[in-house]
Amino acid sequence: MTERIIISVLILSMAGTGIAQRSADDAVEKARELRKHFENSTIALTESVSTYRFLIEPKNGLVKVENQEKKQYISLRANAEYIIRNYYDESSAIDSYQLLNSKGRNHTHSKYCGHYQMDNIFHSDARLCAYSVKMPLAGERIDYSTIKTYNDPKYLTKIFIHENVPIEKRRVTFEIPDNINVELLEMNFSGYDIKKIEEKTSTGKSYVYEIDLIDEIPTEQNIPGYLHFMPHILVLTRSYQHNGTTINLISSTDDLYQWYFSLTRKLVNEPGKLVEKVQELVVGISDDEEKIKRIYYWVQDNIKYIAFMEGLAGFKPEDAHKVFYNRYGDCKGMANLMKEMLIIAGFDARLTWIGTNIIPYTYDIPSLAVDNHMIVTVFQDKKKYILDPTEKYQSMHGYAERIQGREILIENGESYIREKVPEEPLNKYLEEKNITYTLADNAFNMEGTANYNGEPLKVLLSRIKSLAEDKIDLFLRNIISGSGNSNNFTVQNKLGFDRDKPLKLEFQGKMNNQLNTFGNDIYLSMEYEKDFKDLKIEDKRKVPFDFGRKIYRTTVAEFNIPNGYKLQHAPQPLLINDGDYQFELRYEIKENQIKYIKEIKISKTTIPVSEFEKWNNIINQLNNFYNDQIILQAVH
Amino acid sequence: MIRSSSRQFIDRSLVLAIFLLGIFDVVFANSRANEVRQMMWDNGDPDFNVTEIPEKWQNKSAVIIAQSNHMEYRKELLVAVLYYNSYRHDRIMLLDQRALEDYAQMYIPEDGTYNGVQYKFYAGYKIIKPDGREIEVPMSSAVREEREVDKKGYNQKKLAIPNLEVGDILDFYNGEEQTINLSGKKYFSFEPVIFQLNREYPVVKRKISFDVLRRCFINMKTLNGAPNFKLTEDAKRERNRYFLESADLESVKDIKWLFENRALPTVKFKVTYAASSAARLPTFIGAPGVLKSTVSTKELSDFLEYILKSNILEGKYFTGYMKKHFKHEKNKEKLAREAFYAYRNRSYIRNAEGLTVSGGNPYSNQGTFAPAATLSYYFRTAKIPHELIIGIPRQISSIDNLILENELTFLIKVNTSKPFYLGLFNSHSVSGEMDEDVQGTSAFSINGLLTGKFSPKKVTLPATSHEQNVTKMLVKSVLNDLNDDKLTLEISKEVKGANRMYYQHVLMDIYDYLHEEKDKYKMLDNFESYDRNRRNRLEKQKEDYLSDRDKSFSERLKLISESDFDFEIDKASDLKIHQTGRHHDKPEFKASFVLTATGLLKRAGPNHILDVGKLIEGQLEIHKEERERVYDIYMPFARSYEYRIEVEIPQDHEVQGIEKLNIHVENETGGFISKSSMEGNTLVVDTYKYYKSNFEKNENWSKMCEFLDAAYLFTQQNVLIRKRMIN
Repeated sequence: MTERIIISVLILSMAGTGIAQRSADDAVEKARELRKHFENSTIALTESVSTYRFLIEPKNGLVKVENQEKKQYISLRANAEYIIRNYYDESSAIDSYQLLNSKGRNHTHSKYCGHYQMDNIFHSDARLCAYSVKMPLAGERIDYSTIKTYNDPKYLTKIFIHENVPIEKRRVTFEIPDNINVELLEMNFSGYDIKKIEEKTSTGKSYVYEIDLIDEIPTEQNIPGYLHFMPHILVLTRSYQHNGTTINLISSTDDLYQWYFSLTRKLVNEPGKLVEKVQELVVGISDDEEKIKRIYYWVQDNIKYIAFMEGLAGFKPEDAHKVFYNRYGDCKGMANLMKEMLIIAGFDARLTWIGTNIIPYTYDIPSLAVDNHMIVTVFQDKKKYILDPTEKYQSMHGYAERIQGREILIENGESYIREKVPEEPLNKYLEEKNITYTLADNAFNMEGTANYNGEPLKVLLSRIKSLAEDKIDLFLRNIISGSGNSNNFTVQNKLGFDRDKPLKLEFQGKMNNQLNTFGNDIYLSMEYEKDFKDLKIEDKRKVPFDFGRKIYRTTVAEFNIPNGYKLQHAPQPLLINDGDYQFELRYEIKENQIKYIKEIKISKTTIPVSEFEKWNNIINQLNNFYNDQIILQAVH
Repeated sequence: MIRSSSRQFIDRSLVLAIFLLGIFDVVFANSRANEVRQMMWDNGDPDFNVTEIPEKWQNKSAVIIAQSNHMEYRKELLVAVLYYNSYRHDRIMLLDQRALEDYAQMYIPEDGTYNGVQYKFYAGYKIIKPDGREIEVPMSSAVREEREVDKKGYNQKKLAIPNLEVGDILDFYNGEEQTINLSGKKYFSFEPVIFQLNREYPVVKRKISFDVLRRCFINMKTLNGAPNFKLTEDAKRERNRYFLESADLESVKDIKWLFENRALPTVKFKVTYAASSAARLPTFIGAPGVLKSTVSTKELSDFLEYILKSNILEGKYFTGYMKKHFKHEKNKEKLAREAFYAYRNRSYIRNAEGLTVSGGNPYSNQGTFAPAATLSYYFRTAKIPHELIIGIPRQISSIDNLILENELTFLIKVNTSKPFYLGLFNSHSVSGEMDEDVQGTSAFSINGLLTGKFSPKKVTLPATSHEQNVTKMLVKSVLNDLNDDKLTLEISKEVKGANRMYYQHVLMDIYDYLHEEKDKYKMLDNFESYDRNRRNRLEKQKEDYLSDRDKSFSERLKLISESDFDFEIDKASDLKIHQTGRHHDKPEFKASFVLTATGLLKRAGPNHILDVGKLIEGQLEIHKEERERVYDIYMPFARSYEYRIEVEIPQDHEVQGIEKLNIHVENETGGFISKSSMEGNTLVVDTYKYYKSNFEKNENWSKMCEFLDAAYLFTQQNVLIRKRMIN
């Protein structure tokens, strides 16, 4: 009997080994197959299933969302290491998690749980648990599952389809009972084969989104906000019925504003503590605009950006007098301080919510995902001043790129005003150079002036102010020399740094590396900056390219042909006028003077993927132009 | 990411979370915090009451008015506990926005226990306004952040300094008190420390002090003009206080070819606890409580005798191996060289394949003592005359300033008929080679045939010349189509001496040189020396590694080529290793590869311009700001670069402007020489750049700049390619 048991156990265990071996072989084969699709990845998900189950908590009658994640990781290469991140905060919690190896046993891993630094936020309630896993062989599998709870559905705003690793089969499911009114908005689905399956369930409906074989979330440089191009689902939990009554959550812009207003109403500003500073700033000034400016610039210059976003502090501004005393705050704190200071100075200043240009939505969508920033609007003499105190060195007479054209929600007591920040015309981005070249005693020299305006001016001032005094000269020389050699330049800034005036630099350059003498002929180029010469977009890039701002550059350079020489050749003009991309580079010859005129206008901040080929063609033409030379021939 | 940053945190502060403190502890903690606060802020030091800064530094971002570091080392009487306290006090005037940002956010670890060491942390911050008002920042405004790694807490507090403005003085202190449970240990050595008195910002007053108490030993030396420590004895408290004060220190940051430990006022020290029984061991610790700043040859000799004994087992094992495998070899020079290569195989090659395929580091540094001691043991047994040489890496200090055991580095000089060194121990080092870190330095030498009673004698180690560290490169290109700006460059590299290690490490792996060692050292195939499970795993990992190997090397090649050359590289391919450079008979590393480059050939009207100067790789460009230099120039080794460019142009074309490619600058620090010619339809350019020494006095900097500028100028040169004129 005993012997029979032993034999049975042996047979069973052998059968088990066989199955395990088959399974391991299948996984290796699967890894091989997936490597063909995701050739640069070391790890992938064969399956990633996210389920969001909406329900009403019986004990308190509040809506919560249970989120279950089931993911099967597979190593595509040996020695794969990965950190699985599981985020939570004050309004959500990780209820459980599990990591199993292919034998169904716990997978050994290191675990970190706690706060993490989120972008440039100094302190917030954002936390994560990070599970560090190793997979020594290709074709190893890890089954990861976790259950999380969102205790307040207004903070569950969006779900991305993509993840940090490529996925073979991706599914996102929403289970929504009939008594909870949730709207799902499908964003950027175009171009992706995402199937949507809608089914009735015993309590309501389920919505399933499915897609196969998707890449990981891109990590290239110069990416615009992900919300602009990555497919995602916006989750709008509008209202629900409980015990026969309808309870509104955020079902409209009015509701969104009312929630914001409920927070700002709780502010306990102590304006008395600001009065002395306000008086000091505006004393003796009669012009209202000048008064506003003084206060605006004082906040920009004196309040450091240090953000605390613990719980509601992520949405409620800090009291004005505290920000004033601390000399630091986040955007909301700075806005609130500036608003209070302006009110003390006698102005009608209002807090204003806005989503910066990384967010593509308008306030038509009632969601916390719509905005991420706070500024101030001042109503004065039928004029409106939209002021962003977080934006260091921003002139009062302009708007930072990131808020231009964006919709704003201006406080107006119980109600609100919806408006748009104006778009700045391209001429406010002007970076302008005027140059004169000379050739004497074999020295090819130049001198010139450069003016920077608008957004380029603001960016330059921010950089300059972040540098040590003894590093500013090198920085300015680098700016002037472009892709040339900064050692060959000297730069003077005689007018100082003023955000309300163009930054005017005078410069001189030794340009002998732009000139060559071959036999009796002189070859020279009056183009040393070569804007965009390296900005060819790689063929493999699949995501839009973002410049960060619009661009308008002009250069006018003059050169008198020296005695004893005549012009033999000048590069052919390059004229490209393709809507948003305009390039005009040409040489004009008048008597013995060569004039080089360059004008570059890029009137949108992002190149979509569909225009990469066109853009690269432009760069090729540009480089052809840059590479060509002026040839002066000795006159015998 | 999280894990690695957490690890850094652990390494830096060695902190663990504390759980709930009892009421008593809270009271005690508060009273101790007050004591530390008083010690830092109420000690009457007038330098910490200064509110003005020198006129010459008004334009700096910040000026450190005073900075003090105080450390205490103490062994509790009768209790096996060691106390180490460290306090830092800074008073800094913040003069611009940048400095303000630097000091606006503070991080304070939370008290805790880690590996038996209990840590307590103290901090205090106050702002002195220009009108003289002092505002203390309440520590209660700090926020607590939880951080837990594998169930161990590493929590911290974060404090944003409120009310801090440009022109303010920030006066702050940090204290760290460690209680170390010796648990029967008779000997405990704190990490050695080496640091400069200069800081990123200029310093008006810098003070460093030590209290060394009961049974603690201190090795310390001030270097490069740092003032000496002064002693005040406090017999009543059994305390010796050593104190250093320095003033008027300029800011130092980002200087090329600077060995900070050699050029700037520097302090190095190490504190050790040793019970009386352990203190008798022949280390450099000296007498308890007495600062020790020299090491005698007797101490060195005793120390060597002691540590060499510790390596006997390894020495015996290796000797056994040599006797078994080289029993017929009688030539002592050959035997010595064979021993070096056998040791290299055993220590660096045998496990390299497994490490390579499993993602480990096959080039881990195993130090110099074990190889030198093991080889010396064998040589002694085999009666091979040799010296064991003990030096200090030149970036740390001169041998005259030896005070710590762990700064020593070891090598061997084999005194056969043609003496040679065994002075570099890694996967690719060859016999006759010496680590660049000790070249040209003074060192101590002992007769390796002795087992004790050494008489160390001072020797000067030779430095390799620029003719021994040579990088040769041949770049060949054929311009078939002048309208195609893509150039195919066929490149051969031959690297000899110290420079070759870089290329060997980046462009080769074990599969390039395994065959050189496998048969000779009877290495087993297919990971047979590992157990079955490990073997199976390694086999699979190897298969995976090999499937990506070509691609991975092409990527590496592209990466290093992009860093070497100043032009755009589209593709790097066809990497071939022709000679691995791993034996003294064939010490050159030889490889060839192909690059596809764009942007080198430009159209100029009907003609073309070739940026031929760029083909000699990017050259150092000395910026205006770097031309003024006050510090001596420390380079890794003398070296030379011998490059040849051959560009074949179309038959019906000619080249103009080659005379600009002829440059000749030479002086006592080095040189750059280039010559060009046309050989048929091929433009041939030979360049030679060399750095004559690994060290130059500061006075020679302008001379170095002459040839560095010449080399840079060459890279800016180009030639015209035009259709041949028909007469």
